[in-house]
Amino acid sequence: MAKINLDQVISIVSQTTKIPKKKININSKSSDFYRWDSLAQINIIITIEKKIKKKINISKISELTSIKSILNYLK
Amino acid sequence: MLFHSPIFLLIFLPIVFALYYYTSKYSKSAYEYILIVAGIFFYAWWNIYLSPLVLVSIICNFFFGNLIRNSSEKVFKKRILIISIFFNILFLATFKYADFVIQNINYLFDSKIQKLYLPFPLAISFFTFQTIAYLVDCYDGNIKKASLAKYSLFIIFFPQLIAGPIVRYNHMMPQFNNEKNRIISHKNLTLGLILILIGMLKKIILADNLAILVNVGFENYQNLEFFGSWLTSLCFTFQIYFDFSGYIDMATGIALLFNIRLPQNFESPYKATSIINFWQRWHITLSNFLMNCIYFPWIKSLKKINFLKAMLITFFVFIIAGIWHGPSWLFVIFGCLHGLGLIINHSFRKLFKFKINKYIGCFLTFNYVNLTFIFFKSETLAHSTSIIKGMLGLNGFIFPDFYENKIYIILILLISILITFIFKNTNYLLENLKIENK
Repeated sequence: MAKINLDQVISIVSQTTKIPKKKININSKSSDFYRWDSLAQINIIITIEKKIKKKINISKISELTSIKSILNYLK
Repeated sequence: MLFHSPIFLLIFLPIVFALYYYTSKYSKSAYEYILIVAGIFFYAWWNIYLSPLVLVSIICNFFFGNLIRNSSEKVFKKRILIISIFFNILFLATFKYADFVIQNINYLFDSKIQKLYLPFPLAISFFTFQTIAYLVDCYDGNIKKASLAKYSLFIIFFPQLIAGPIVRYNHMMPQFNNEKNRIISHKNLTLGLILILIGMLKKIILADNLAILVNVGFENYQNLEFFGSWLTSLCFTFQIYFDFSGYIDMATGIALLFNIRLPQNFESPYKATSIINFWQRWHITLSNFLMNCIYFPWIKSLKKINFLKAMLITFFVFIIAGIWHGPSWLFVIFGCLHGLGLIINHSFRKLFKFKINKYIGCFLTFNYVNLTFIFFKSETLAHSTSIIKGMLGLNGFIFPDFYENKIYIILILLISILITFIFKNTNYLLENLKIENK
C-alpha cells in the first residue's frame, strides 16, 4: 500500500469537497462541513484508493469521515 | 407487550433485570441465555405461532454467515452473500408484500388471483435489515467469529427487537462480551430510568394526545380547510417524531439497564437545515444501513461515477426506503419525495457557492418534511391531495367546528414546537448528565 500523509489527505478532501485547504486540519470531520456529504465521501474514498493503489472495504466508507480516521486507517 | 405497558415495566423487565445480574455472579455465559430466552418470550407474547419464523431466520442466517466467513474463495463468498441476501429479501417480501404484489397484478391485468392474507411477523423489516448488515460484515471480514448464541442475542435482544435502532454486530458484541457490563452500574441505571421516563412522556403525553387531533383531521379530510389542514399535518409530523423517538428513548434506556449502549437514532431532526442534513438526523441507523449496504456498494460498482448517476442511485435508494416502511404506493411516494428533495439539495450545492441562512434552511426543510409525512399517514391518495389542497387554501379558510378545545390545541402545538426546535435532545442528556458511579 502506497504511503499517504496528512497534507495529502487534506488536499484530497479539499479538492473533492471544494472546502478551502486552510479550513481543514487534523481534527476536521465530515459533520463540520456541509459540503462533505455522502457524495463527497465516496469521491474522497475513490481518490484515496487510486493514491494508495488498494481497495477500501465498503463497510469502512462510512467510518472514514474524519481526517484522523482516514489517517489511522492508512497507517 | 409494549415498553410502557404495566406487564412489561412491572413484571417482565424486573424479572429479566434480576436474572441477568444474579446469574452473572455464578456463570460467565448465563447472561446470553437469559437475554435470548427473554427476547423469544418478548416476541412470543405478541404472537406465539409466528415466533418460530424468527428462530428459522436466525438459524439460516447464522449458517449463511458461517459459510461466508469460513470460505477463502472470493467468488464463492460473493455467491453465498447474494443468495443469503436474496433469501432474506424473499422472506420479507413473502410476509410483508405478497398481497400488495397480488393486488397490483390483479389491477394491472384484470386478473382475480386470491390474496394470501399471510400474517405479518412483528419487526420483520428491522431484523431483516439487521441480518443483511451482519452478512455484509461477514463478507467484508469485519466479523472474525460468531457463535449461534451470540448471533441469536444480537438479533433477538429485546430492547431493540421491535422498532430498532438497527444495530451492527461489531457495535453490540464487545459490549455483551465485556464482563464489567454484568455488574450493576448506578450511572447507567439512573440514566436508563431517566430515558425510559422521557420516552414514556413523549409517547403518552405528547404522541398519544397529538394522535387524537391527527385522527380527527384525517377522518374529516374532506372538510379540512386551510387551518384544519395545517393543524392535521403539523400534528402528525410532531406525533410521528414523539412516537418513534419516544420508543427509541425507552429502548435505549432499557438497554442501558443492562449496561448496553444502543446507537443514536435521532439528533433533533426537525432542526435540520437541509434534506441531506435531515437524513443525517432522522432514523440515523436506517440511513446508515441504506448508505453502507445499498448506496455505497451500488455506486462503487460503477465503472465511472458522475453526478447524474449518483443522483439516480440516491433516488432509487429512497424508493427502497419508502417501500420498506410498508406495502403501499403512498410509502413509495414518500420515498420518491425524499429522493427528489435530496437531488434538489445536492444540485443546489453543486450549482451555487453560497449557503442558505440556517433559519431559512430549517423552515424550508421542516415544511418539506411536513408535506411528505402527509403521504406517509394517508390511507389513500385522495386523503393526501385533499389535505394539500386545504393547506394551499383551496378548501376555504373557516376553522372547522369539530375541534372543540382550541386552547388545548394551541398548548400541545406550542409544547411540541418548544421541545423539537428549542430543547436539547436525549442524546445530549446521555452524554452530558453527570451522575457519579457508586
